[in-house]
Amino acid sequence: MRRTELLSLAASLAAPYRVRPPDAAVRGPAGVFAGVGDGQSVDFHDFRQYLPGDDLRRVDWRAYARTGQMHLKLFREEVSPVVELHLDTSASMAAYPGKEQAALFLAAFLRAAALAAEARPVLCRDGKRFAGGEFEPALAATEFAGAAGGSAAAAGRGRPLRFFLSDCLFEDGVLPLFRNHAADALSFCPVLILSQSEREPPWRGFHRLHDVELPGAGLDLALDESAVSGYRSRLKKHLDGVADAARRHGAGLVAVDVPDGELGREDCGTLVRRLAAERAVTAR
Amino acid sequence: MSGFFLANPGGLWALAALAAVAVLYLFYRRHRPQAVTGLFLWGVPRLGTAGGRRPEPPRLGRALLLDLAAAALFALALAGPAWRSASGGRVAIVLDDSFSMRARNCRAEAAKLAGRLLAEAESGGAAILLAGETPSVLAGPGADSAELRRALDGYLPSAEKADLQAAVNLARDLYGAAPSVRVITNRDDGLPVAAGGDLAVHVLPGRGGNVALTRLWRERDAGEAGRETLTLAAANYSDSAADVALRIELWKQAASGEVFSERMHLAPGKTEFAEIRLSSMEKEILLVRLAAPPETDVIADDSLAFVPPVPDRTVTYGVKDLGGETARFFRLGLEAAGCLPVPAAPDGGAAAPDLSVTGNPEVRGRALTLRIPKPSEPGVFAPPLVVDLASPFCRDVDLAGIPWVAADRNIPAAPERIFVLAGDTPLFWQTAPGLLDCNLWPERSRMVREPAWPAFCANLAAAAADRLPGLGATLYRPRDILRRRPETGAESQAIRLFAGPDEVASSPSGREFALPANAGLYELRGPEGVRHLAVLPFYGKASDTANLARTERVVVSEGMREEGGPGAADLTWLALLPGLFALGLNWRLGRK
Repeated sequence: MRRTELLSLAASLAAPYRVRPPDAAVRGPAGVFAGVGDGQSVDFHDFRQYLPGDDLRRVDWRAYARTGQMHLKLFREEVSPVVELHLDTSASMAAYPGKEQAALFLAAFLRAAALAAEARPVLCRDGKRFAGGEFEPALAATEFAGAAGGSAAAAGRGRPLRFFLSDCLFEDGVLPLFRNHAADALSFCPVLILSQSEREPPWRGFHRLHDVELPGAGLDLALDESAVSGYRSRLKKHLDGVADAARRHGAGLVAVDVPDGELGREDCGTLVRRLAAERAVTAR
Repeated sequence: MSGFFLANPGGLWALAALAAVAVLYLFYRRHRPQAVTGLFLWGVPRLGTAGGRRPEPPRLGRALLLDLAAAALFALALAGPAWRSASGGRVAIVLDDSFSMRARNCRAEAAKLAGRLLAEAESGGAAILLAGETPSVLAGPGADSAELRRALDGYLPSAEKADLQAAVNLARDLYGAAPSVRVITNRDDGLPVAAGGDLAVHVLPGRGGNVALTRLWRERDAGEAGRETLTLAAANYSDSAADVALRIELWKQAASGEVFSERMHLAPGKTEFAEIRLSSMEKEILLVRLAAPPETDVIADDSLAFVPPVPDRTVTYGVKDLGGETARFFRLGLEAAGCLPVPAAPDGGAAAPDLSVTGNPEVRGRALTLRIPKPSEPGVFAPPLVVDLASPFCRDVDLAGIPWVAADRNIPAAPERIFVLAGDTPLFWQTAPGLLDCNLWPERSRMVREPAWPAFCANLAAAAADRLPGLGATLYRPRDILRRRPETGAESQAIRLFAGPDEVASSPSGREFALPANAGLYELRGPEGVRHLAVLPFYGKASDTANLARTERVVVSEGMREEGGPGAADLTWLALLPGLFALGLNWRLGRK
């Protein structure tokens, strides 16, 4: 499936969904999310005493009739927050076609879901931010050839809803990265993408393993059951560390498994259902 | 003789495959490249080769060891491991003594095979027998390994027929039990059957036409001056019934080509004579060659005969040019004659004592001088010296007087032995410093030459035994033979009589003892160093064959490959199966 087809499929599959609103109030331009201040929404927020200069249309005249004191009715502010989609563009994300396509699909899907929620999606990759009309071309032109590590996007204003699409296969762990991402975010949701071969290596026999992100690094191994078993235990320990780091920073980790080969429509539907099940997106 | 042996030791060359396997491991990258996304999850990473591929050190891991083990086991299987069961520690090797064994390198192959069989035999207890018209013992069971080797070196087939069965029976009688008999022949019919013990027959390739130039004379024609006669005898020892057509070619030294040729037909088993009358070429050296059809083997030793001019004691040949073809001509002729040592290159100063090439002003050029040794020249008797009176060099030696041997018995610094033979028949021999006055019986003594000293004694004793009236009660006096042997020392030294490896009688005084009642073949052993004094072969007279177990089968094999034998078990599978297992295990482990 070509990238353009994949991105348009993501937009079509995202139609029934929108980004899940955060539990805490947010700031931002007018939108559909409840803001932290008073606004023009229909949601009653509070009363306060009338002060000179207040808009007389907000005076609760019924209460004035009962009590003789003028009070204003305050309603919840509705804002449009920023949804940051941090995309891990390290080479390991393109080690398998399915993994690469899943990252692009999820980014496009979350963008559509954010737009549906009248949020402002921003693509953060390679230290740059792409918003508005730049988002989609930048996503389509993404190349996964960077070194291992999280994206260090330029910080935006306000507290965004932050998604991090990565395989999280960082030798030094993800705890510092998650700390940074969660520190200034209204919510943080790492999406862990692992291919089938990463979960369960199919290779047996004598292999020279080399890391796609570390040129020159190699390891000669006789891949028998004991070697693969050791890999499984180390991977489980690593993923446990990722889940623990997410839990410690209040992030909702979403782990998705993708096939090694190219994604099909069924695989994309599975990814969407997975995001919905983990409440990363909600139905409209 | 029991134990492990290799039926095809040449198969061990396959061990070179071990080096090939190691080289493959050295240069072949067994590890398939595989990209992964989290190398740290596989263990401790290490730096690879940034500069491209380079030879990796051999990984002495399980795979290499299994491959090496498999290769070694396959090489072992190729060598044909076998186990020969015990057969009383007695092995008799019967060598076909017929003349046809000289064809197609059969003699060397037989000697080589016999040597290998001897090496496989346990130390001691082995014997070598010759299967000629009548069997004879080349080396008795008491011979040590050095004597066996020496006897084997002297093996020169010279019988017109070979009675293999008689030789096998003799081997059986020799041990008085059930020996392991190994027959080496080039015949594939008339093979012997075992009558006790185990019997393996090794059939060498090389059967076919077999022609030899057996005699060669050259003499002046007494009735006609300036003429001479060349008489030659050729025999057909072919195993086939067909005649062999030969062409006799006569070459002379100075000519570049053949000077005479004549056709000759030889019927099987017959010896034909041909006389060639020539104008006198007294100063010429002639070369006689038998040219036979390609399917016919001509005995190489005799087919090319060097015929010197009518000989004197010392003959000087004028040679204009000893280089090139002429030198080769001389060398070929002298080698063919086989009686004198031959220098590798007959140029001045490098000649053997009895062949010298020196400058000679009388003949205006270089000269070749052949010298027949004389007693007045001490030191020329290089041991051992065999003087063949039938050879062309000795045609004018006075047989009646033996002037240079018998007339002067005080030969200073003489060698150990001198044999005087007439063809294959020994006439005299001398043991320094005295001369043993031996009255031989030429009709019973078919001699091989010097190296086969034990067999010589055996046949001597055989002849002596024929003269003894009756068996068992006869007093045998070894002194009759020993009295002239200086190395025997005092007469009081003990002499023992052996039947195979078992001692059956002894004479502490060394004077006399009674022979055992059983007919058989015995060995007399004297003082240390004189082990083979006599062997008494009474074979074929009183053997009780009824009590001897019959062997189930006779194994006939081709070439040097021994297929087994009644007492041999093929153990090839013992090497082949583990080799296959090692390969399979390596493959299985590599797949996991």
